[in-house]
Amino acid sequence: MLTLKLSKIKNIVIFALLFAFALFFIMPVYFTIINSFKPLREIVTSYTSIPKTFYLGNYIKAWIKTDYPRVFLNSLIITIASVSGIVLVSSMAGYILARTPGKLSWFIFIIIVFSMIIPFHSIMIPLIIVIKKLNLSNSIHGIIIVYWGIGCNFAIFLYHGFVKTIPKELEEAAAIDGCSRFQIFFKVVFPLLAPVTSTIVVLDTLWIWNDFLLPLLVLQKRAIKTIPLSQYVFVGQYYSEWGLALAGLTLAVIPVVLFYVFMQKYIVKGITTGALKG
Amino acid sequence: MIKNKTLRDSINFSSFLLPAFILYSIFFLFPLFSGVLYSFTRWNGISFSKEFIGIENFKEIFSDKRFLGSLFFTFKYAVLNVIFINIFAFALALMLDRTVKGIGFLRSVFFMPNVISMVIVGFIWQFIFMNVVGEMSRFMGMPFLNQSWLGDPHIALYSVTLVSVWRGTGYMMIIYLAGLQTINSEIIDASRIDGASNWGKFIYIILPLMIPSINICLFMTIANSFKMFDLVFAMTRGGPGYATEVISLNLYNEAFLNDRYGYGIAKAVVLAIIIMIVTYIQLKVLKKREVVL
Repeated sequence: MLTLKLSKIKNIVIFALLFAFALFFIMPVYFTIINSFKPLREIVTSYTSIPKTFYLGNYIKAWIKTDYPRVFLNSLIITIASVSGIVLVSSMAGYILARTPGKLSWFIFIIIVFSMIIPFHSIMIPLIIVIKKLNLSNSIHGIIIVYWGIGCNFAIFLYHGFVKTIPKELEEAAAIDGCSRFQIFFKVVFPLLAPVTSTIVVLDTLWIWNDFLLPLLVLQKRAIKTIPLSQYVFVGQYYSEWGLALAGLTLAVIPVVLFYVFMQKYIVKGITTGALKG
Repeated sequence: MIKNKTLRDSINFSSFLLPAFILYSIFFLFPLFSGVLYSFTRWNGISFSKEFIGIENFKEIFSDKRFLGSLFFTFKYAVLNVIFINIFAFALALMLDRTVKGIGFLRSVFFMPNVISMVIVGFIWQFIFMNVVGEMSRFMGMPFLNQSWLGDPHIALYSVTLVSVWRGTGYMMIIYLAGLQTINSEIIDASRIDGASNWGKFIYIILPLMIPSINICLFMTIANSFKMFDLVFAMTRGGPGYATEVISLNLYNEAFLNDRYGYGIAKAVVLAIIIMIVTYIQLKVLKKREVVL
């Protein structure tokens, strides 16, 4: 804490400024929520008035029209399976790369680090061709496998850096006890990797849950859409009925805001460690 | 025995590495390298025949007014985005770095936009720009707010940047806050005894000690700026006209709307090269600055 010693007046000014900023940050959310409770007639007379009644029609309609439970479940399955897969394969790869000296593992690691600069947009067109050839489009397991492939470079990088800080003695002791390399990894090393694992889980969950472009390219069928993708289609359809669209958007935002409220501590930690290492 | 051990080691090495490396090769390395090959062809993405045309695609890129426009727009957006996000995030971090009741809540408020999907952010702000701002300008008596925020090609750049700053500031604020918390408060106290003014403390102590955090945040915001897609896709679709078409949207349209895969991939290669050059320059400049310290 390095609070500058400021006079009372300056402190008041700072709080006034913070308050004004906070209002600006809350403003769009506030208008989204109040308008989602207005029937169409009321919304077109004023966008800024407080709703006269607590009208739930928009929410009921949006819930049904977006097939909300279905897309929520899709997003949940895709996110959980993708993140778990990334954690599993990347922790193993990062571990063995860090523990194996030699040119080969160094070379592979350099390629992985270097490719982190390449943006997704630069590989997306050929990637779609690969996905179509392998028959992975329009399927939930297909997109999960693709996330494993494109998400592992950052995760390998983080695990690699962390494994180096773990003393080897523990593994050597376990090896003397007759543990195989797999047993050593899963029983001894993986639990010690928990701080990195939580960073990766937080960052990748936010990324995959909110991702739009890959689902847009891969998931064309209605029944397998994710929340952001179904919102995109939904708002496009009900463009003139903002009350309905905004109710849909509110429904879409609720799960991730809840995730944020409960995981805030981990998210903040994940961002700082992810940024320092990345 | 020794042979046995090396054999076992290499089996272990492969079985730990290969699951990730095979996935990574299929879905990252192969698209990357095959993309470079495709960029020298004329191809619609469907037919078997890919006609090799040398560097024709790349020649076309540099006379493609729409692409050059999107390149220019992306750079303008990147500059504004990087400057504003970092100034706001740093200022907020400085103001929030204290223990007062309610400060935790304020931090959450500033970070909250970051967990919302960019597409949803785009739609919410589209609604705000199109309907709410005009009405607010009337009863607040600020007619200058009543603009065509998304419809005027000269203003749309600033509207897009505004939303992007709204969403991106909180993330960098957290990194700056973490940086501020690592500064030893004794140094600040010592300087106070020496009679340093607040401004002096900021310029000569806090700012130099924050260079690592500033580097990280600059690095991340620049990279994010060139990767922008979802926001314009939802909010403006690149419009009005092509006024807000970022590079990634331009190449998306080229491949998936115009069915010119070869040409679209050539643009994707150019995007990758631009990002590599920008990253390289950044690393050079940032390294120099750290040495000076």
